Amino acid sequence: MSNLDLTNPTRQELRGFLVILVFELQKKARVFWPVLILLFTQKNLLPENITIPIALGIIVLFLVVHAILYYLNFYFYVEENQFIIKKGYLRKIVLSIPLERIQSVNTKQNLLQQLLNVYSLEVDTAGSAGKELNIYSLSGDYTEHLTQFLQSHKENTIDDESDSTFNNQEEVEILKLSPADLLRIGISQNHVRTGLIIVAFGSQIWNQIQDLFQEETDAYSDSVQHLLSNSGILFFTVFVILALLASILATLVFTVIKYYGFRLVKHQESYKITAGLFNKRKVLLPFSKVQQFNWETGPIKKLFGIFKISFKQAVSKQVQQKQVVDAPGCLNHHIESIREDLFKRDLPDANEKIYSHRRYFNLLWFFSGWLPALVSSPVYIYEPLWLIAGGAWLLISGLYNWMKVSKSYFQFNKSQLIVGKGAINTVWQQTESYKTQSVDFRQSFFQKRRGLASLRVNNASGHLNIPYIPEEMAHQLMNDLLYHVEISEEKWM
Amino acid sequence: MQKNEEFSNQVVLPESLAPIEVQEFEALDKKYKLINQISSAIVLAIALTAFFIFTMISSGNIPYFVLFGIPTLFVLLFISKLVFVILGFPKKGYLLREHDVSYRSGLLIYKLTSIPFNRIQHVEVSQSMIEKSFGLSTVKIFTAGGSISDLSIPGLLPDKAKQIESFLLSKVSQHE
Repeated sequence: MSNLDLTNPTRQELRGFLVILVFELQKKARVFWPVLILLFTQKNLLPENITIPIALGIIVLFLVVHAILYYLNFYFYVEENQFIIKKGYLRKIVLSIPLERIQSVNTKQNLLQQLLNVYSLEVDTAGSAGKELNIYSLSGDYTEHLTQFLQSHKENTIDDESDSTFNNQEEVEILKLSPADLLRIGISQNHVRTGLIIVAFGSQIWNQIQDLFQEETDAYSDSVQHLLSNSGILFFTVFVILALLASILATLVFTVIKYYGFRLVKHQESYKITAGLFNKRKVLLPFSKVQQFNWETGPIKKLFGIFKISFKQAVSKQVQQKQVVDAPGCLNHHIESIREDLFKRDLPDANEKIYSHRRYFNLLWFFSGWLPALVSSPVYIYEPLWLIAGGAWLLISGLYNWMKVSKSYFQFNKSQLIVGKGAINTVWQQTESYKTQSVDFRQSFFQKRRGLASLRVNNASGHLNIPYIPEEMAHQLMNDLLYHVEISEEKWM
Repeated sequence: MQKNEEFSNQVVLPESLAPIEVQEFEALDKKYKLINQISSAIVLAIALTAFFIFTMISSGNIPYFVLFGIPTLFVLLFISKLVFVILGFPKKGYLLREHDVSYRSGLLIYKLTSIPFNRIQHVEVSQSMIEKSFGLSTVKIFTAGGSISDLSIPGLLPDKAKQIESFLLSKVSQHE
């Protein structure tokens, strides 16, 4: 491994040429598809002696030549404190990224890449055009080496790049999900939601099928149609059950594909996550880059004692959402050890939980319960039966919001903040005070009368809401947070 | 809440006290109120014209309550907007301290946002068309927290805006 010299301009791995070709093909297709469609639909646009196969041949030839040139002119290396990518043959592009600006280095492997045994590397810098910094074909060794280097270098930027940083310190496995675990996790996902989508979607198809049959059955016999329309309720129940089964199966398959072979290991001051069946991804996540850590459980998950966790990183404006690294399932002790790692200092668990004021319920119930119920009041006049539906809605939204209010709280110990939320699910969010970017204090007219206020704590990965807490407490929390940010010398990213 | 001895966060532009909620905020320029009134008047004018063009095009048979109701609604909205602008204006203000910048606003919903200097990504002075014709500027302050955590201070005289911008930039570069 040590014989690899990163400062040497290197080309991509030759055996991955096919991968480069495919990626370039995708890129070009994305740009030129209207032209292609035009070409194939309007055959007379082509000169007479050129048929479609010939045209296609020419296009493929161009692409292959393009890919070869692309491959030959693509170099990357490390020079001083920059990671440099040189590419392009007609238009030369030199991308240089200061090492300390690198957010994260991710490795990915799709099916083709797995077959050819090459990896693609994605270098993420906060707020840059992310796609520019992809290398599609790298050998495993080189990837490992480069990732290691970029990561370690970033952490101790002042340190001379000594070989000692490459010394693989032991990796500690924190979490590993076996296929059996994944099955359990798949079952405990929220199926009701998926099921409802399938029902809504399916009932439309059902109606269409019925319409279709109606025409057919008119011609044949009435009995089929009779059966169809009379057994509607039966069909519907069977359909709902089938939909639920389908949704369970779908989530199972999805979970297994996405998280197959999930492994979370701790290495020095960062986590390494590997997962995926067809698309293998490998994410290196330094502790310092985690802006917020969330863990979550639901009614079914609770039965299994399973939590879902996610690490939230800074969101660069182009690649939204991608920066969340999550694990579908883990147990309580995993969360404890992860929190130990991420938030070394004393956790605020022992501090008092300060719950949102009950008045928060009034606001929620008004907007999600009463307002829709009152807006639809004209319907009640025409059809009083709808009053029952309206009443049921009020009741359900009341219950839901009551759960929501009773789960909304915060815990604070000056350097760290935990916010609890959720209604049916329970979600905990934890962040360190100094990662805060800005703080919003909000107080409506009604809140002012009761001496209450809401706070929103923004960090680089999102925000934490702390609704309806006593006014002085909100002020104090805001001042404390600002104070902690302002005295902090640590890099938030 | 214990305070660190070495840490101070005094107000810099207007000279005063410490916790943020009791500070005297700097008011915006009076012209800002006028700009808001004018722009809502423009919106009213556009809405009314659009409605009249609509009535012209759709030949006849529009009930009278629609014909008169909708313009009245527009005017009522305009008046309430005016009231909000006038009453809300004194609530708006900004505050620069040694370590952070804050902006507050809100008549019915009071809102106060604070950004510490060491979290500012960049600062920008901007002028919309109407602001330009009245000689006002807006200072926009960006953080890494995305658009919801950004802050803009409108209704500043261009000199003042420039002054604030360079003050913030000097503070930002101190932290780098």
